[in-house]
Amino acid sequence: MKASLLVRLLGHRRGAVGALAVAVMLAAGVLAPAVAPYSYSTQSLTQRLQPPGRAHWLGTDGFGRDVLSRVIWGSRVSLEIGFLATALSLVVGSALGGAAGYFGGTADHAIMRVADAFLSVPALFLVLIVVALFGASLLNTALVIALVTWAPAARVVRGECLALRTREFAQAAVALGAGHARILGRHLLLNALPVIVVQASLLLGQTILIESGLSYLGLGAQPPLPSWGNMVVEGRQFLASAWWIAAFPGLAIFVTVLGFNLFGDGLRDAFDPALRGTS
Amino acid sequence: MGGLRSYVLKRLGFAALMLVGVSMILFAIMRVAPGGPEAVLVGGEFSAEAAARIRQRLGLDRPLALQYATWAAAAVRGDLGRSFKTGDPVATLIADRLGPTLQLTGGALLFAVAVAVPLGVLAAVRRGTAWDTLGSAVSLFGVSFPSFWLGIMLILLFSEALPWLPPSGLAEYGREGDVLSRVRHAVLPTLTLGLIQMAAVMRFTRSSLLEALRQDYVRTARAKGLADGRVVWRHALRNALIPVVTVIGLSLPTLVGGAVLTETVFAWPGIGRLAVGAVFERDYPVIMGVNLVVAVVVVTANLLTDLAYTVIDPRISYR
Amino acid sequence: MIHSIVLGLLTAMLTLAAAQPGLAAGRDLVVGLGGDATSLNPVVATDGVSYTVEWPIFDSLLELDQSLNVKPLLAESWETSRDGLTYTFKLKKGVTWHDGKPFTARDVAFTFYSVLDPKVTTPHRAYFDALVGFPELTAKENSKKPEELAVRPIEVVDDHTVRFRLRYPSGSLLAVLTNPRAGIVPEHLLKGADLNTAEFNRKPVGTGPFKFVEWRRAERIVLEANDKYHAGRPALNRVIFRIIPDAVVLLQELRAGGVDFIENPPLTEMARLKQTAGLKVLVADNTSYTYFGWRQDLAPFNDIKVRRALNHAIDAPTIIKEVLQGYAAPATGQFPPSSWAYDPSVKPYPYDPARAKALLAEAGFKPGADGILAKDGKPFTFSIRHDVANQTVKDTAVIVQEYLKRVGVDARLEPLDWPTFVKKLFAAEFEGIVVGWTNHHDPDPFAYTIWHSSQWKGRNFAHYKNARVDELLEQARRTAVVAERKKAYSEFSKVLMEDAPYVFLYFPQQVYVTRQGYDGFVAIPTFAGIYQSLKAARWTGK
Repeated sequence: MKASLLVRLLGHRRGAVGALAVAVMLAAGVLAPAVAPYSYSTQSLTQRLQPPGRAHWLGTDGFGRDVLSRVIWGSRVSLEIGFLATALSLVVGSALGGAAGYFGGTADHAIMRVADAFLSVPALFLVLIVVALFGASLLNTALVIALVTWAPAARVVRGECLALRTREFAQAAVALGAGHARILGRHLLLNALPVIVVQASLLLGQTILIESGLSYLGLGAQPPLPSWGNMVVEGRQFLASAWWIAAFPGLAIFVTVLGFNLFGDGLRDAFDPALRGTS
Repeated sequence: MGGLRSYVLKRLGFAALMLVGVSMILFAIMRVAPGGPEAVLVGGEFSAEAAARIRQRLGLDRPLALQYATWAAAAVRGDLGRSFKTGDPVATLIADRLGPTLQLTGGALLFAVAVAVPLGVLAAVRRGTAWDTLGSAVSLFGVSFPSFWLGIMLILLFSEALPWLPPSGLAEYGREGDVLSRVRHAVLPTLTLGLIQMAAVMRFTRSSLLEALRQDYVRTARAKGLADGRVVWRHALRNALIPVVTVIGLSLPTLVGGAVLTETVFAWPGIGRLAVGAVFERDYPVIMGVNLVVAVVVVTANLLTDLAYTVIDPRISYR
Repeated sequence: MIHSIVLGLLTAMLTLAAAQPGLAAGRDLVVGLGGDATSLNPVVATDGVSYTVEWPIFDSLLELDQSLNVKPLLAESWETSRDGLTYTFKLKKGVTWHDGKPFTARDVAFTFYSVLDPKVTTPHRAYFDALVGFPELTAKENSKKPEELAVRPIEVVDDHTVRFRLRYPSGSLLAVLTNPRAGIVPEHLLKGADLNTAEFNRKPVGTGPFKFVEWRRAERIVLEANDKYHAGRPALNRVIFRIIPDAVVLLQELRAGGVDFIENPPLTEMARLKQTAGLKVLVADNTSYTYFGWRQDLAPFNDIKVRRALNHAIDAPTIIKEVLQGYAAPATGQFPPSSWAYDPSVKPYPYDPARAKALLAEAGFKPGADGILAKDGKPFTFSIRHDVANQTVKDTAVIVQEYLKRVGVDARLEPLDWPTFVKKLFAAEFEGIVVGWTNHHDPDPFAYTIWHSSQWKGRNFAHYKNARVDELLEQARRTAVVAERKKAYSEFSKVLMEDAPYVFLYFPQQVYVTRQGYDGFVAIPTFAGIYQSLKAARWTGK
């Protein structure tokens, strides 16, 4: 089954394109120290605002730092935050949401009320409070983003499990005497996987966007550490005179988020044998 | 209907509990946070004694539990206290911003749903064709930009390159009653927020409709020879709407209390900016007040959402 | 279907919309601000935006000319006693408050007694240190009321005469009686009220050229011309302050016509703005400066070689040229070049990284394996705290960090949000900082409170202590003779530069952009100085 899954994945054009984009960005982030031509923080105040050219392929920013190197290092920062936050968020969200949807009753109520509590505080608000309290480090930012996004994930997974619970295979498993954990883990969550995967791809994009939103408000990753978010914010004032400073990290955000979304689409379609090809 | 009524009552009970719990935790977090409103209020003449005097005046030197109890007792009566920074009654501050916020939120949601649901349905039904691609392209576009980026792009397009629309603000001075002026000012921020909302809604509509379409009962209906259109619209769509309603419900707290980025770019006097500014300035009454209002909205919306689930899918019932 | 309807609606709306008509063409002025005011009461307001908006609403006793000399405003004339301890002001007759009531000397006394009242939270109290009875009136415990004093510091001689009595012949009294810090407030509306929270602060009434109309929080503040202004009705109809937090959008509003006047645009846009037809740029020096500082009593900053090395390590002139586009003056000490107390013979440390390294070596530092200097096994590393929300300060901190790295000093940037930052500053919980002082055009108020060793609990949170400096600052404030003050401040500046307690960076200029058609603005070299001339501004229609 795994082999045919892979084949379907690769055959899905959009999914493959997305996967490629993501792979490139990931590679850039992982290999940053080796691949970046300059350091991300070395300034050259006399070389400020240089347009893309031979010495600096993507130009230099307001401090004379190389934009290409910063975009590459920014990949590392943005993706670090993204993966950590998404992983945390989904593990917690799926477990709790699945349990809520499957067990129902008091468990459902309890878990969903806790989720409601988290949801009732606007996302950026909660992030701000914690970041203002504990400082704007990468770990804190990821933790807080996870804190904010687990509840929507849980709600979605719960909704899916609510519907799945009544399906034949689930009721058959119950009739056969399978234990709760088996039903939840093996049957419900596995069948909810497409939904979870779509969530993951959306989440990964979302965390990059939340981090850039934090940068707009002055928080997020702090200089001189580059994140695509804070690069776009720094570059906004130069839109007319030095467009490359904001455009390239902006493009990186766009391509990466797009890539994750396309990849998610591909994964979902690949998981679903009945949907390939035919309409 | 007894089951439904007891369900609603139980939910409301939980909601009240939750409101208390959340407000308590928020209260505690803010007090633990370093710095306080003194910094903003004392300003350039800051000294330990001036700070102490301010804290005393604001009642911040009393025990935490007492402070919370005072706030809660007043809040229940509808008195949300006064802003530490400007002295305005918090309820007035929020009420003044509610109108512009709902205008922005409502407009964005309306735009999102009106465009995304039909697009999502088309994309699912006409899978693999140009509609599918268009739908995906539009939704992916909306979801891949930071809102402040999208906002400035739209401003540059519609206010500089094509001088059609004003860059920011609610309305021109003296023309608040002018509907046309207000609409023109609302277009860009609503579009910014709406494009992003639309993406999420569209994707969920498409994927969940696709899921629903391959359900056994759909195949059965088709096998029985029912016309395709009826199959789709009656059976599958109802189920597909569940995640859509979920997503709309999920976006409410953000739209009501958190559209701060869009509000900041467009200088829109909304609740998001109020809340964020209050956090930056440690304006505790405003923070607590906004959180309470947003929480009430969200709790109500979630309750309605869950009730909507039962209507849409009769198989889902609440024990 | 639905899309076409929406599209159709949109198109209809756009075509129906005529070219933006704007306000009563040209006779209003729309000023773009990046933030909202806090309180429109000059006694209690502490932030720059509030100062700006208050200025046209409230008059002060005196105002400033372009050389920062005082001129009459509400005070027509004044006499100083020979010993410099008594100032008698004759107030202009026929001045009325915006609500029609007459302005008298009682309002003046009320205003400044409020500033001295310990129950009122005000940033201006220290400016009136020279007044008789200051310690008794402002005591933390058991403070006295003015009526209880034997000698009244502020005496209402008659309806139009008010007398100030000093306990030492301070030369700053006239200077501190000017806006934006000394607007006069009406006794008949505030007597008995708590100035900290009065409704007045949101609906102000003054004697100034513009009357308050409305304040829609986070949106705009609207003022209209005062027909009965004592110096004649201003030429402008209304002044509308629009609050637009995003600097890029603010600039766009200027271009689109939604705003007529902005302050301190992103400096990288200056070249383009200067060349834009229909816009003009106004520049003036300012009293504020930015610096890189540290705790003076913390090792290794307590070694003078280290402090001088840090000065040599940073290239301030290049920062000014490249980052501030030349819109700043190099800082050599507490006073801006436009101040009479400024001594041009005091020179900053030249940028010399080699010399910096040499000095650090003399101080006992050797390069470690990673290039960072270390002494006795401890690396030279410290944190630089600064305000997370101030983009210029952030940029400066990043540059300072880089220069330090080049000489082997490892500085970690720690941006903090404002309330946290202020708390840590005044609690002296920091190692390095990058921050600024707004400063006053008279040298005394800030110089004393920042550098005198008695002020460690106040603005001297860096814990600077130098006996000679203490002497000089006290000398300079206890005389009104400008020549003597100048001499004291001159030596003070020299001692300060030798001691190198900060790396003084730059005095950024005030930069304003407005439409060609507005005339009459005069940018004076003090904080927000241009708003003093709002009463003279007019639209020429060009």
